[in-house]
Amino acid sequence: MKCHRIRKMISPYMDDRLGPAEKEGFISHIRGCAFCRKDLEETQSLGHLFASAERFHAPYGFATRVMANVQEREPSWLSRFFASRPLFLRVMGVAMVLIVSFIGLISGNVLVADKGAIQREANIQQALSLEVFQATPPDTIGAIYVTIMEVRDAT
Amino acid sequence: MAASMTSMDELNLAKRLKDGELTDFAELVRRYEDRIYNLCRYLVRDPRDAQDAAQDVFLKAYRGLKDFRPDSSLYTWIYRIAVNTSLDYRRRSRREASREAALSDDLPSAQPLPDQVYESKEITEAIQAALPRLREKLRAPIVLREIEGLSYEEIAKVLDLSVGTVKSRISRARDELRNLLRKHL
Repeated sequence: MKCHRIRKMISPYMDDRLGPAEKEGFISHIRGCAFCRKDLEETQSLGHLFASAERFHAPYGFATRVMANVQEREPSWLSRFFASRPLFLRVMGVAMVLIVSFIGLISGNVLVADKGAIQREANIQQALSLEVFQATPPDTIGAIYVTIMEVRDAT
Repeated sequence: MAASMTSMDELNLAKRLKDGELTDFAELVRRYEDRIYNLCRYLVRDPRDAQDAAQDVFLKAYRGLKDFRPDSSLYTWIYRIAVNTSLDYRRRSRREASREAALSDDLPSAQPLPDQVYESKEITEAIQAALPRLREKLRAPIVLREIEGLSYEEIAKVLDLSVGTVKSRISRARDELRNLLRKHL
């Protein structure tokens, strides 16, 4: 085999990707070729270099921060409920909410308006009623004065 | 490494994830946080950017749970998100331009002391300085192979490439890295 072909086989050789025949031809060439042997040795050294390189560990608290970020972005149960439904159901759902809100608003206003009118009418009736009229309610100075005058007139 | 990723336990977790329960997702984060962060550190390099990118990976994964097929492997899915996110981060980073400009000075000195060369930190820095000089399409395959220990088939699934393309990209990446890191070999 020629050198340029052997050099292409260095990397697969290192990863044990050569077939038995290819491997045999490769090793045989390497034994007799100083240039290709040097390339192989350098590539093997590169492998050792990577093997001795540092393996980094995630910083302390990394997983906790990830989960906090995930929870922060977690959609509410309502949006998850709607997100999992087909579009027409979502549109119908929103329409229903709007209709119910509108009906509630109108009915509420009518009820409040009626209640106010009834209350106002009751207040006027009470104000004009002679049955509940007390010119001088007992336990007032006016009532005491009237009582004194009645007693004096009687005597 | 990757073989242990496709255990029954992993398959069960993949199925449970479809329900969108936060406790299951927390389990996924706990299992993959180191691997994803490590991958981001080699693809993004800057520790702060790598941390942001790794956070983004999990947020994207959570948002993408509805599209995840439980019959596909969990690590392929999460690694694919990690590679795409990391490469996006490097492209988007505002610090990119200045960092690239300073890159020639960033490489370790030509004649470091012999006892320092083999220290893990020095080696890591040399590799991290060399990786951004590779073409983007070569960077992810070599990192997945040499740092994450994935097989050609697994890399092909993660990057959505053929095994032949993966093989040739890893070979070219090694050739280029040999030249970039010659002083350390």
